Amino acid sequence: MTDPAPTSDSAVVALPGGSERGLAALVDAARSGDGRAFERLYRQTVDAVYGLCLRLTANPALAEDCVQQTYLQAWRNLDRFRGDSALSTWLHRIAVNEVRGHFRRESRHEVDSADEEPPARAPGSGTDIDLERAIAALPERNRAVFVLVGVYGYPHEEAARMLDMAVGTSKAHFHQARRRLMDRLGTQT
Amino acid sequence: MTTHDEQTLLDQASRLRKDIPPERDLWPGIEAAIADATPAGRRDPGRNRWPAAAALAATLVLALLIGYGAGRGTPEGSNGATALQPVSLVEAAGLLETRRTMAAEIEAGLHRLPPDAQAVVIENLATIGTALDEIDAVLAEAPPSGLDRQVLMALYVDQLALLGSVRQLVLHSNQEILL
Repeated sequence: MTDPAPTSDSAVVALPGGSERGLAALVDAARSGDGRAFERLYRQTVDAVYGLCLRLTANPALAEDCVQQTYLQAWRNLDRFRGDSALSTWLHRIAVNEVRGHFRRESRHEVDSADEEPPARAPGSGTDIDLERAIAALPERNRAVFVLVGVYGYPHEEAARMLDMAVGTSKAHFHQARRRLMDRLGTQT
Repeated sequence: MTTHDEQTLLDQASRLRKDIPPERDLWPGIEAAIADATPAGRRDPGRNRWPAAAALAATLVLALLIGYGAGRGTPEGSNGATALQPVSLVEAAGLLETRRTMAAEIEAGLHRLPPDAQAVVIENLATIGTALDEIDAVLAEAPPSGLDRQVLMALYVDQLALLGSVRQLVLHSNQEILL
């Protein structure tokens, strides 16, 4: 796995249950070996991590696996979290790495992921569910870029870094994803 | 869709709920994975001492091996530093070779010891050998990264240092060894 330590302060996800300052204190405690602090850290951040993993994988069971691996890697690499970026960004980078690692190991192809069933638990109102399903049906890389940029608000530079692709490629995937979403949603109305 | 629809799509996407709770508590699995991945169980507040411990252990081994290299002689044109070149915290193969060589020398020197001392040395060698094999197996089975690897390598070096101590005692014994 590549070094998950983020290099820029581009957090766009507000973590529930605690401010970044409060989380930083938990990180410090966990870094010293305090398992309870790490558990609290997990409980305050897991929804944000699971939400991203679920959208990236479009598979609840796989998303759970990726969440577990994300926190295992976070525990192992706590010393590398310097606090110069938000914890949410750092965790998201690890999560994206885990999801990508899974797809690499499984030799998944975009054609396959495009045929997957959308997540069973797409949250939100009716129109949100339609959108969630349409996002879940996107090919893997289209989906990853759209989720990071369109849903979570990361700039293309950060999304490209997370996905190990050029910024231009990220923009191209985003454009492609947007067109596919509009086509899909347009045919439903 | 129109351009307006594009913007509507993006607005809607940006408003999607970011936090989704998993259907079950994933913490027990994470906690177990952390315990499995940490050789000595949960790391305690002193876990940050490992890098220092690794350095200390490495120093011990280097010191022992300097004596070892001088004792066994070095190839013509080489010096102690050259002989120690393969020894590295991140090069297990070098450490394995060192281990094999030291074990062979200990075995060759065992006859110098009285039978009782030989038995004690053999017993201790077995213990050290088991520890080394177990660490080696973990490193080979699922190559860890980061701190875990550092910890395992430090443990390996620790055991190797013990082996070096045994070797020194055997080779320089005056038949009064107490292990």
